[in-house]
Amino acid sequence: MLTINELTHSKPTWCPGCGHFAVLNAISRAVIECGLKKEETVCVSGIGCSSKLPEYLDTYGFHTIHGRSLPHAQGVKLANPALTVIDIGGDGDGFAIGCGHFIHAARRNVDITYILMNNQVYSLTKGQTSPTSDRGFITNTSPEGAEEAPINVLLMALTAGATFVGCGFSSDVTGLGSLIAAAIKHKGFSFINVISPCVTFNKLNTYDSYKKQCYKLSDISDYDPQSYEKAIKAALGYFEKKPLGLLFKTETSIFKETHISLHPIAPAMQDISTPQKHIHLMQKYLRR
Amino acid sequence: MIGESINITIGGEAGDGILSAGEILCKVIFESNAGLCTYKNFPSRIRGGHTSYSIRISGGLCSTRSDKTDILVAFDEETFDAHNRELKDTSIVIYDPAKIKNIKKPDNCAAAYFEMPLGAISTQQFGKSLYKNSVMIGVIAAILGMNDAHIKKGFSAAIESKKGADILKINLDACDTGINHYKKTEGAKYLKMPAGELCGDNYIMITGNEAMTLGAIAGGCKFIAAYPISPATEIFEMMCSTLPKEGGTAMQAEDEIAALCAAIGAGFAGARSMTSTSGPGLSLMAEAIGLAGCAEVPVVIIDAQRPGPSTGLPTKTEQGDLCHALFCSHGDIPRIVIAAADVNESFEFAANAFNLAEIYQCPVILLTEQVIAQNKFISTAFDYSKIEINRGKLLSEADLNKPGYKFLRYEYTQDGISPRAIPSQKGGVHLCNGNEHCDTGRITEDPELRVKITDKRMAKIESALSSKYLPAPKYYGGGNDGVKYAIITMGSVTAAAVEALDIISNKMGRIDFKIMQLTTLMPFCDRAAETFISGCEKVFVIENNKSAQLCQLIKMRLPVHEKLHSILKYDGFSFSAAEIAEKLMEVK
Repeated sequence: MLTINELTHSKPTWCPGCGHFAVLNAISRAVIECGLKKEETVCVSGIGCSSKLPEYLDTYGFHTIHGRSLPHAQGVKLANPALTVIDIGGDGDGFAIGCGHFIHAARRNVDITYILMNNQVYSLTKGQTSPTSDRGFITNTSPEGAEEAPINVLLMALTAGATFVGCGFSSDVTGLGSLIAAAIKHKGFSFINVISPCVTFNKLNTYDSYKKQCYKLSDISDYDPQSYEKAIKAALGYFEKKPLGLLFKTETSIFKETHISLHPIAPAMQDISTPQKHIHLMQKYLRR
Repeated sequence: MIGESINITIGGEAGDGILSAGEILCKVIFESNAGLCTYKNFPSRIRGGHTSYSIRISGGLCSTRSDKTDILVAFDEETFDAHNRELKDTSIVIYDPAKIKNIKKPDNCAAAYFEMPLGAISTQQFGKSLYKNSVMIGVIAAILGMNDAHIKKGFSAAIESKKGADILKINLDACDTGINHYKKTEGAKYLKMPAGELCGDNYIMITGNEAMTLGAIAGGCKFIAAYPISPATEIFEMMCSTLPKEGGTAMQAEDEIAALCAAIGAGFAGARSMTSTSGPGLSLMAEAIGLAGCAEVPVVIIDAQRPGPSTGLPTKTEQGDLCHALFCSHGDIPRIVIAAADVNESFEFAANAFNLAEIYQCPVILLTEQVIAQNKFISTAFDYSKIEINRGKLLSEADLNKPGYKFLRYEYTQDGISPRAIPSQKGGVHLCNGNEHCDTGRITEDPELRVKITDKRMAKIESALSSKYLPAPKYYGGGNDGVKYAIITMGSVTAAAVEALDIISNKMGRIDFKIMQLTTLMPFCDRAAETFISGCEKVFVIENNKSAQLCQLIKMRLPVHEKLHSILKYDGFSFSAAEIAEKLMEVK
């Protein structure tokens, strides 16, 4: 079994107190809990503070371009379904520039896990408003306060068709680790919104303010993550009360399931050394 | 030499069934051992608007259109507006009066006109006008004296498997009706069908898009992600139905950015991977092309060019994406850009593009054009035995775990090519990175390492120049010393230019032109171009765009600016041989 130490490549360059440390730790815990090997795990990211996470993790990784990690992650998984693909990124990366990809990744239901490290601010560019920033949030680019309505990422995930939707908090590494492990084990597109405070550029949404807003879904006696209606209701209340835990989970066929079952050998692992074996495709163009 | 050829043009409204009639006619011609190429002209909409389908028939192989029409079939008046200028004194014009009130004839042209109520004949005989196209094929068959057996085989190849024997019989009866009707027509004129020289079973009839797809699959492609776009859609459609049976998979992306990114993801994971697109899609892909260059991920991008800018002319043809393909994306990256001129090159280059992508671990952009992509050509069958698979420095798990070996994904090497491992391989764990990185793949901002890794990446351009998988230039025309005029082409212009030399030699009795077709545009082989040009008085660069993009590339590479003369066309149509011949004789 791997240890957290073995999964760590180098020391992160995040600010002391950053929520992202907990996410890195929780991902490592989940990889260990799921019994994964380094070589069968791929961590894909876009651009931003959070997207630097694969730099610090000693698995296969792909640090891609801003907003486009999800298409890359889906390509990796479709090319080799035996791999465990964990895609991570921030709220600017995933819900501003990459928002379109999120909706389509959710409805496509490729078997990958997407972890949003949501700090409601652009941090690597030193403090601008993000698509999840609260209204009125003052930044360099919103000197009079953010005017746009924030995106409710949980609600968007549910309505776009994500088959696993969860919400975690950086101050609870243990809970987050098991939630990520459950997401990895889920067959289909799993999404976890992690409340991961930025201690440098977001003085409005802090550990303390979040703690006051959060509640555990497991404390709600009649909460049932198989109920889409209950999940929608919990997600609707996100801006006031943040539900922690598994909101929703359903099983349905994954993207290209028939191709995957048709070919036990993954596209990436196929023997391609004999072009002649495809010559039959030319038959229909020959004169009869 | 193409020799004698016959050009048939059928014109009408989209929805008249002209495209399917053209396809049947092609199959009949294919059976006669003749060569052919088509030229489809259609609007970017589903119904309505003028559509035409031209088929040029030759004894041997032919791969460029003619701008003269021997047989014109008109279902609407617009056909006259669009094609009158193609008529000559010996042309035969057949028109269906159903939608035609005024017959517009060109001035001073002795073409023969015959009114044929094709729709009415079909309705009278078979109860509906649906078979008017088969009646029309009969009329054409009568004019050209086509062989009965070829007609039967062609119709059956086109119809039987799709629609059954009963429908085939009605269509063959309709065709017979057309033949008999024309033969009984007073003053009926006849033309000579070129004698088919393409005997034997080694010929195929195929479009450029189909050839590209076959080439990609032969080259080991196992993943495609794409977004539908004219004129590249057929590649993706064919991949969607074919690839799963060949061990691969396909994903329809939400846009072209996602398409290329997914293809890059699959390439990183170890699948030979591609996307297919046209100009607007290639514009969206620019940033991801830079990523593939920086992170050194193999990926193939097929760009079927259509006229830009912006949405431009989605169903017409151009060579206007060259500069974008060569230079798009910020920063310095190694890339390979190749351009196919016909269906054979489409197949061969597509297969080799995957070797180049994996050997040099960079994006490979393979250019084609609407005129090749969506038209049918008869060609010799593709030679699968010539396709080799070379995966470059992709290591095996055994290589990776040799005692004492330390795998560095971006190891600094002389040829710029580093060893590569793919996820799932033990001992190959690494970070693939679009941020500047050191040999391990981890981020660095160290100025020395930045220079070192940039030099390593860019060294691959020089290494690629000597690759046997990189298409070499092709030469045509007068090979002797002392040829005064040089012509440089790429893609579809080549066949028209080669035929133009025949026209010039027929008129002038000699050829003082020679042609070099550039198949690889990046990396650019300075020496080959320099050698070819040296000693020539003038160099004509002929291309299908406004800004002389190929000429600009040559100017960047060689100090021969005063010798270069551009011949350009950007009206949405490809060059014809006659057009090039005329321009060459005018300017030389």
